[in-house]
Order: sequence, then structure tokens, then C-alpha cells
Amino acid sequence: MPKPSKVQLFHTCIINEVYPEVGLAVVNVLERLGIAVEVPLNQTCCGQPAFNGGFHADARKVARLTVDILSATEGPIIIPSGSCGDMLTHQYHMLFADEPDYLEKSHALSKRCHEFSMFLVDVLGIRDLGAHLRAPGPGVDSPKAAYHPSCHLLRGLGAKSQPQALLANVGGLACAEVKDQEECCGFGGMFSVKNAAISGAMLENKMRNLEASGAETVISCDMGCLLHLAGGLHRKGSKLAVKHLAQVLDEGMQGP
Amino acid sequence: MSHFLDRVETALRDPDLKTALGRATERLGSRRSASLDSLPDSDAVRDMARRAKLGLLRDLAGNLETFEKNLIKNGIQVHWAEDGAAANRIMVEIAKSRGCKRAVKSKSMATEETHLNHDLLEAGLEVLETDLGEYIVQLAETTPSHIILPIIHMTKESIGKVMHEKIKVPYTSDPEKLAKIARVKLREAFLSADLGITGANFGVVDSGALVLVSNEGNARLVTTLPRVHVAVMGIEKLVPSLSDLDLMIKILARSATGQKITTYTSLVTGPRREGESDGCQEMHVILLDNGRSRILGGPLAEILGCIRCGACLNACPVYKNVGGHAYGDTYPGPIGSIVTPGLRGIKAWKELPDASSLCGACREVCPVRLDIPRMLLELRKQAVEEASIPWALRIGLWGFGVAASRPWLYRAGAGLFRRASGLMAKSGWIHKLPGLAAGWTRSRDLKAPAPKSFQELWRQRPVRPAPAAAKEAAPVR
Amino acid sequence: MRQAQIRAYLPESPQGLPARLAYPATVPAGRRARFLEELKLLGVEAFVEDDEAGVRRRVKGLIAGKSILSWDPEELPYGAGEALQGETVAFGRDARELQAQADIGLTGCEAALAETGSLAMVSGPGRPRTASLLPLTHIALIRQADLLQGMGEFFERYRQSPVLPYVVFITGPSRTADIELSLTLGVHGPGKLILILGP
Repeated sequence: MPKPSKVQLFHTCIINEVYPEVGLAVVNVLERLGIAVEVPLNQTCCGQPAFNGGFHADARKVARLTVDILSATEGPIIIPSGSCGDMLTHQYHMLFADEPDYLEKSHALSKRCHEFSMFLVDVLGIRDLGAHLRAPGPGVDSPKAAYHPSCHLLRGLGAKSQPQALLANVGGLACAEVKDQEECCGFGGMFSVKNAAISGAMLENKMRNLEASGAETVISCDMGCLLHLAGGLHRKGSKLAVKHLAQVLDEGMQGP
Repeated sequence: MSHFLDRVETALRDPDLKTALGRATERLGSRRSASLDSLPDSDAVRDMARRAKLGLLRDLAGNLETFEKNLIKNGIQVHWAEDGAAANRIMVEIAKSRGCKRAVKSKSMATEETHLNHDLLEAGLEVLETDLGEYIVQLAETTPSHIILPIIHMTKESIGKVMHEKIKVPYTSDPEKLAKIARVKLREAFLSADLGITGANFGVVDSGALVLVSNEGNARLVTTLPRVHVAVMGIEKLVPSLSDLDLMIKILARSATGQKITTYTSLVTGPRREGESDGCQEMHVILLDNGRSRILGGPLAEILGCIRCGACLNACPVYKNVGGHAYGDTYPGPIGSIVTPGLRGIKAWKELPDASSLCGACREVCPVRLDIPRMLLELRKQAVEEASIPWALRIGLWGFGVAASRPWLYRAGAGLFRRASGLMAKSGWIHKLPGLAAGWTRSRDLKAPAPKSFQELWRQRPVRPAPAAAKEAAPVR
Repeated sequence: MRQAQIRAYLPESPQGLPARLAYPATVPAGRRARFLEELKLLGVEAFVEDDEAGVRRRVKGLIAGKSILSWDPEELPYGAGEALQGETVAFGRDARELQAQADIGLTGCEAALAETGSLAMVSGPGRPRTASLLPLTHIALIRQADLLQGMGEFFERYRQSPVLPYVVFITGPSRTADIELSLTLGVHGPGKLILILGP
């Protein structure tokens, strides 16, 4: 695809309510690449919490709104979260199996949807955005970042390398090796509440591995994972910072 | 708290269990990867295995008919059991009518499913498990916790204790000594038993043969020494032909333990032939339904393609933390979360499909590429439709559906939550959530909503000029 | 209707998959090299003998003075039955209790599989299953001509038998890792496997 001049942003409910700064970082990165960003108003949620819980009827209500709002637009739709991206790309047609009209629309939509890092690497063909973090002093190692691949991004959308490729090209940032890096962090949507004990145990394992990696920052492309990891690390009093990939790129593109 | 959550809490509080599970799943998982890497075209092999299994299931009834014909041609007597109780009844009848008193068993998940041992003991028969792990499970009067490694949850000290207490041997925790003790004890049983009971890993339709895989040799002894052999096989365990069997064998051991093939792979084709000095004199197969045909034709049908390798258990972060007993029934792990409610009904087992973050690691390692997350979602849907869900949850999700489909209502609701959490939060973090949401704050804080939503900030953003040819990033392909 | 429902949930596989596993042609020398490699990984002791007399000598060396459970002498290749003279031997026709006392089991095999280092043992008159099962040590004699590449080829041969016999593929010694994942050999079957590959 030739570089689009304009894209739509599906900002996700977690960005909207809790982490609007991530949304702004996404916009900044895209604008610096010469792409205008439009935000369809009245977005609410992709409906995944209800869908994952088995509440298909309720999920469908929300999904219909999302399909309507997004279908009224044109061009690529950027989604800065792997789980929402997977929902819109792969799960909507499961919800609308009995509604041919919405089924068709959701098929058309899924072709337009791109998760943020996959958009940069696979669609725009860019791995190096010329991002540099502030250089540490002489003789000091670059700060390390630990990448956490979210399950929906890694296995649902098949993004095995795109975020890593983008991070590898951020100057002044080293990538930390994380034990059991691809293991689930334990968020899983409502799982984190309904199965809080297991979710907590998985979170504990993940936090231990992240801290042992020697990283200063945890970077992910999924708002659910970020909310969950940030909450756990904060409870633990950890010094690990938690950021979305877009925030790291935005920071880096502002110049050292 | 429900029984499932009780079992989970118990498991999570056991540090020995955590160590044992971590070590075992890590070892088996890495061995699996290494051995699949050494299989040429492993992806194609897995796809072909899936094709063979699903293709057969598409005409299971026809295949079962052919299989039965070929079994009979080989001199094997065939019985059909609609459910577990029927299977056990048939087994007892065969044993009694043939005057069998002492049975030796090799590992069979199907007979765990039907609780066969219990019924045999009730009928006055002696039953001895001969797989080392199952033998210890039997002595300890417990249940297996992993499909391939039944006593993965026990330390060698606790195993030594069980053997010392139950069969009065001097205490030792040395695995080699313990295995030797078991060998001697069970050898005695093999030589004197008159009934051999096995499961079957596969049934080959065009050859009328059963396939048994093992590493210890007990399955061979069970099918060689006693005069009567009865195999219990789930009706879904078929493969079309011997060349499909080759396919399955190539991936089964690799996925389960990382071996290229198990030590012993037996093709059992009937009672001993004329002139042979060993092998059973009479052979029976009990074909077990127990809910399998109900699963076929429904959205869970794919699960009947499972070849019981256990790879999903080793990959699952939930299993790794809670172990097999938490699942509460014969089959643990991701496969159990589908099979148990599938065979026994969703009403009593709705918690199992919920106990997953849908990470998809299971689907990634499954040799026949079963789409386990899709089936878990399907079961959750069935639970909402058929089982009793807490009212508060139903209302909560209904409310979510209503609000999130009406932007103005959504904004109003979000605004309310923003204000409420403003009161609950300290320095931007909430430490304790009420009611159903309390689970979150058991082990995490919740970041309080931002003072302005992204949409509000966007609306207030000054209008920007169209982006100029900004600093062009270097496109690298 | 039910058939349609069944098919709806059991999707067809993607196009372009090979119809069957490919079994590329192999040469005897290659098969032997691979076989010996696999045996090393399994911890199986292997002897390669260039002539029949060598095989017989090797067998005699291994079994002298021990008690043996053997296939009938005429079933053993390379005239290896000769080596049984003067030794304590039980055969399939003897009582179980006697068979169970043997230290060593001596057999031939129907075929061997290079890919996995396996033996294919087919039961029949004079070829008791117990010989490769009861004793702690199992010695198997393999003819070069019976060394196949893998199971697929074996099934091609085997499928043509009029009456299918009992077959067991033996790969290495009996083992378990049930107790804390520590490997123990010789749980129920033989703990030691020795193969003699003849001309």
C-alpha cells in the first residue's frame, strides 16, 4: 500500500479512560511520519470483555456501534492494542454469524484494521523512525528495556517481530533478555477478576522475570497488559516503568 | 467459594507443587521444541495429522462400523458402551464369566474417566495398576495430576513414604531403588494375573488393530501374559490406516516428552495365533461413547481429535501454577477444560473454561492444531445460556452492553466512574475495589481514570495544519 | 442435516498439503550410519559383525554362563542358535516361571528402523514375546537386509500379511521419569539392550 495520507484511530476504551497520553503519543508518531490522524467520535469499546465472558448478546450491541462508527469512515484504522486489534480482525465475524449485513461490514472492516506496530512495519515498511533517547553519560550503559509480547498480538495477530524491530532501532536503548518472555502476564480480561488468584500468580511470575532482566522499563503494545502490569508493579513498589511502544517512539522522535 | 476456587487456592499455597510443576513443564516443553525442530517439515506433518483426524471424525459412524468389522476379522470381540457405567459393567461381566480373579492394568485415561477400578473392586476382583506413576497413585489412594506424568506433583520423599507405608518395604527416596521395588512387586502380579486391562492410544480402522505406546514395558506385559485382554477405547481414538498411524507416532512422543518415539509401540491385532506360546487367548475391545457422540456435530467437535499428548498442559501458564488436581476431574489442563464440561455437561463445570486468559499457548503447541481458545469461548457462551451465572455479573455485563452501545450513556457512566474513583484513589491509584471487582485489587492497584478522557483532550486539541513533509524516517525493508 | 452440521464444525484442511508422507529413497550404508547414530543417543550397545561366524562368536561371548530365554534356534539368524549349546536356556514352550528366571533374552527381529534406532518384533510360533520382555538384558540380532529407513516402509511390507500378527517397535531400554523426572532404566522391560548387526 502506498503511504496513506490519513488514518482513523480506534483509541480503545483503556486509552480513553486511563491512559490518554498513549493515544496522544500514537498521534504524534503518525503525524511526524506525515500521516494525518482522524478520531471517529463516539467510539466506546470493541466489546471484547463481554465477548470473552460468553455474553455474546451484550457484546454484539457494543460491536454493532463500533462497526457503524468505523464503517462510516475510510482508509486504514490504527489500533494501539493487540487484544482490541485481534477482536476487530478475527472475532467480530464470530459474533455476527447470523447477521449477514453486519457480517459483511465486519469482514470489510477487518481488512482495514492494523495494530500500531504492524502498521508501521508491515504497511509503511518502516523499522527505523530515527528515534533516539537521551544518551547516558560516557561509560554508562544504555538503559535496558524489556519487551512484553501480549498474547493476542503475538499469537492472535501473529506479530512475532514487528515491535522488536522498532525497538531495536531506537538509539540509546538496549533490549533486555526476559526469561519466559512469551508467557502470558495473567491479564486475560475478566479472568483477572474472576480468577484473581491464578491471575495474581501469573502476574507474580511475570514481574519476577521482568525485574530479573535488569530492565528499567517494560514496553508493550497492549493496553490490557499495561494496565495489569503497571498495577502489579505499583503495588509491589517496583521501580520498573511501564510504557506503550508509541510512548517510547514519541519520546525518541522528539530528539535527544 | 466454589470447589474449583478452593482447589485453586490450595494449590497456589503449595510451594513444593509450584517447584515440581515449574521444573516438569519447563523440561517437557523445551524437549518438545527441540525434538520438533529436528523433525523435517514438522509443520506439514502436524497439518496432515490434523487432516487425518478431522477427516475421520467427519464420518465417525462409518469408520466405527468398518473398524468393528476388522476387529472381528482379527478374532477380537467387540462391545459398545454408551456410558462409563456400561463399560464397567461389561468389563465385570467378561471377567466373571471367564473366571478371572486378578487384573493388571496399564495406563488408561478412559478407565479413569469411567472409574473402572472402583467397580472392579466392588465386584470382588483384584486390580493392580502397573504404570509406575499409576501404581503409586493407586497406593496413595489419590488421582493422577498430569496425562503423561501422573505423579508430577509428588516429591520422591513422599513417594518413598507411600511405598514404605502401603507395601511395607524399608523407606527409601532413591528413584532407582523405588523403581526396582515396583518392578519386583509388579512382576509377581504380571505372572499371576488372569486379566489384562489396557486403554488404546489409537485404533487403526483398516487393520482392525489397537496401538499402545509406553516407555516402561508394562503395556506389553499386560497384553502378553494374562489369558484375557480387554481394551477400553474412546470411540474417537481412530486413525484411518497404518500410514496415518506413522504420522501420529511421529508427533505423539515428540509433543509429549520430546522423544522421537516411545520405547515401546505395540500393535495389538488379536489373541495369540496358532503355535504362539504367549499373548492372550481371548481379546475384547470395549468402545466407549460416554458423551463423545454428543460432542460430534456441535462446535466442540474438534476436541475429539485430541491425541492425549499433554503438550497443552506443559505450555499452559494456568496449569503450571495450579497443577492437575485443581481441575477436579480425569483430564487436566486446557484439554480438560473442554473435555470435562463437554462430556459431563457445562452446568457443573462452567468454571473450567473460565480459568484461562486465552493466551493461545496451547493452540500453538498442539500437534493437531486444535483451536482450544475458540472452544473455550464457545463453552463460556454456553455457560451464559445454560448455567447459572451470578446475577451481579449478568446485570453488570448487560449494563456494559447497554452503555457501551450508546455513546452519551457511556460518557455519562465513565464520568461517574471518574468522579467515584477520584474519591477512592490516592495519588492516582486505587488500592481497593468493592464488590465483584475486588479480585483486581487482591494483587494489583488500579490506575485511576485520567482527569480528561482521550476524546475530551482530542476535542480540545488546537486545529493543526496539515502535516508537512515531516522528518522522513528511513524506510528499511 | 446432521452430516452438514458435523462438517460445519470439522473444517477441511488447507489445499496444497502433500497427500502422504514422503519416504525418500535411502542406501544401506546411509541407513546403517543413521541407525548406529540413533542407538548411541539411546544408550544402546551395538556391535557390527562382518560375517556369520563373527555374529556367533559375539553372541557366545555375551551369553556364556548366563541363563537365557531365547527364540527357538531355527528362528535365529546367522545360525546363532548354535551358541545356545551348553548354556542354560528356556524357550517359549517352557513354563512361565522358568522363563522369568532368565538373565538374558535372545532374539532376532523382523526389521530394524534406522530413523529412530528401533527394532520391529513380530510375534509368531517359536518367537515368544517374553524373550524381549522378561529378562533384564535383551540381545537382538539384525540382518543388514532387514534394516529399513522408517516405520512407513515397514508398514508397506507388513500390510501385505494375510493374518496380521502382534508387532512391537522397541526403541532403547525400558525407562521411566515418573519420579521427579529422574531417568530410571529397566522398570518393567529390559534395562539393557544390545544389538548385533550382521552382514
